[in-house]
Amino acid sequence: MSDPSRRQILAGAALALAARLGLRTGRADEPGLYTRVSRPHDLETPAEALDGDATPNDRFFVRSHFGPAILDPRRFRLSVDGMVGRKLSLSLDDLARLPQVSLPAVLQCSGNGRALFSPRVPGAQWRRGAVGQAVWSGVRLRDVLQRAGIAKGARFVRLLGADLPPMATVPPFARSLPIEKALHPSTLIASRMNGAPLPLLHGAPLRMIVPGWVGDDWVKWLTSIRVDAEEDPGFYMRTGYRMPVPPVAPGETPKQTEPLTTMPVKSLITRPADRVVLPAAPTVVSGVAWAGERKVARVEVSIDGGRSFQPASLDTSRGLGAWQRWQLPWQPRPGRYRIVARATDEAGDTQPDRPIWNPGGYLWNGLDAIECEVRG
Amino acid sequence: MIGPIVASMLAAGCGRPAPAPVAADAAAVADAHPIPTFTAERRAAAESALGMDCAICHSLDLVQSQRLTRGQWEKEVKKMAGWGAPVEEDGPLLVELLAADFSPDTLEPPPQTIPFDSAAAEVIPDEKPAPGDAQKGEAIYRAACQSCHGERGEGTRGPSLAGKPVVFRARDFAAAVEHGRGRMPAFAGALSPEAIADLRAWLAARPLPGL
Repeated sequence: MSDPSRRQILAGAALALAARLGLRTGRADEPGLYTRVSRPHDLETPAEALDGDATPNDRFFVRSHFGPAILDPRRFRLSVDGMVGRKLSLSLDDLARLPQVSLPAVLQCSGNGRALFSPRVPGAQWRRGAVGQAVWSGVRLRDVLQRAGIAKGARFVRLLGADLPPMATVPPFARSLPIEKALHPSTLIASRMNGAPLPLLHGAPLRMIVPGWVGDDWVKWLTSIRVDAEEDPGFYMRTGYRMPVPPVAPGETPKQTEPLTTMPVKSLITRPADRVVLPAAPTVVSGVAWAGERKVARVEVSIDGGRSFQPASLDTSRGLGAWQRWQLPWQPRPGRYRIVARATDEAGDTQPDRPIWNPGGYLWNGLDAIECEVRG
Repeated sequence: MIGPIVASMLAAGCGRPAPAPVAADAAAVADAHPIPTFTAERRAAAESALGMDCAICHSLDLVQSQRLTRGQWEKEVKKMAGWGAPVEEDGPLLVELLAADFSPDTLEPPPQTIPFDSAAAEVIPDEKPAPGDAQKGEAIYRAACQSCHGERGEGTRGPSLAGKPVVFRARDFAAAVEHGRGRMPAFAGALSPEAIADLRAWLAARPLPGL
């Protein structure tokens, strides 16, 4: 990746792909992200900045376990070991020589919407915007694993970043992907985001892209890939990022839990912005919707606070784990409105009125709602 | 860098009501009840502990943005103690403070915003590494820093430093060493600017543990 001509070609390819897919890559006007945590950074995107196919890199939400690791790109090595035929130690140049892939995909923190659960649960208090979509470019994890050779009996791929915990007593952030998902052709090791080098806060020089799955698996500052027979026994696989099965009532201890994987169906209203004042003139209610590895089948919108819904027009899917934009023309009369959106996926799952409460505050996917006032 | 943030957060008082003049009343209540009341002294101690114990690893807005019951706060403090937060005797005090100031009934202020570039500018390494003699830096590290930050900057009582942005940012690094942070003492009198530059140069050359 140190060769500038190669870099330009890759950037050009990503932008060309973005153009071919009809993606808008322009910057939104509003400055800033909501500070949920200032050290290490947990920064949330205002929902109105998500109105498009590519969230600009400098409006994209930031989630940190332990904050950035500073890695020297010249000395950088990605190690591949464990149950492999031969161990690899790959430089950024080595990776740049593998086939390059670009794809749009939604990145969402599994805790997005945590602050909307009642009763409240501990964790970063995200509301609507710990989500975004970018065009990610890099190499397939599969291509790297095939060069190492996967031994018989391998079932998981452990991903570890260089963002080591502040103390040895704090568990490191390691995630295990089942081998099937690791070998999926859309699972990438990305070095670029919306055609630009991956910014430090987004995981430079390398981060995982796991389309359709929660952000937990999109490990940043990736330095180690290990092929294993078993899931990593650490905190972030065995304790954190798990859902009770079956659900539990608040205060009840779950008997059984399972790791988070795919994102459930969800929609987001990006226009109008929450709590704006609009003129009484024809406008468009718009937003995005996604459903993990599934396609979104329909989005319905209510402008009367959820009493009645009408179908919005919905874009077709642009690939696994990409969001679909939707629109509904609206000719408002003066008054106060509560607009509600509800998406249904191709398997028939619909956003619930009340998502399943869980002690980690994960996977909130209740109906999205904004309030606005129309003045004559 | 962290010192002033913590100080301003504590000064702002986290949205709590102004401490009432409770000393006399509290003594009377303490006579009647075996459980010590949350006196102004205990509150001050708890606020100090919050800065000393929790801000080693994260800013206090992570704590202050939660809205939890006493039971939930007890669990959180226990979890953090298990992860190495030095809250030993401060635990009950912290729970007292957190349950009082950040309960499900506490109002939530609108969030602060920060431009992405400003956030990035807090962690991006200096473009040109400042000069420093790493060899001299190692000797200073062994004498002044190792007891808390570990043999190779991997962190023990104090946080890990290897690979962290602060050791690639000469001004932030010098400010932290000169003025101290939380439990870390100020070294302004003990270490010259040159010595601090040497120290930083050595730390910046440490490989990340395990890599």
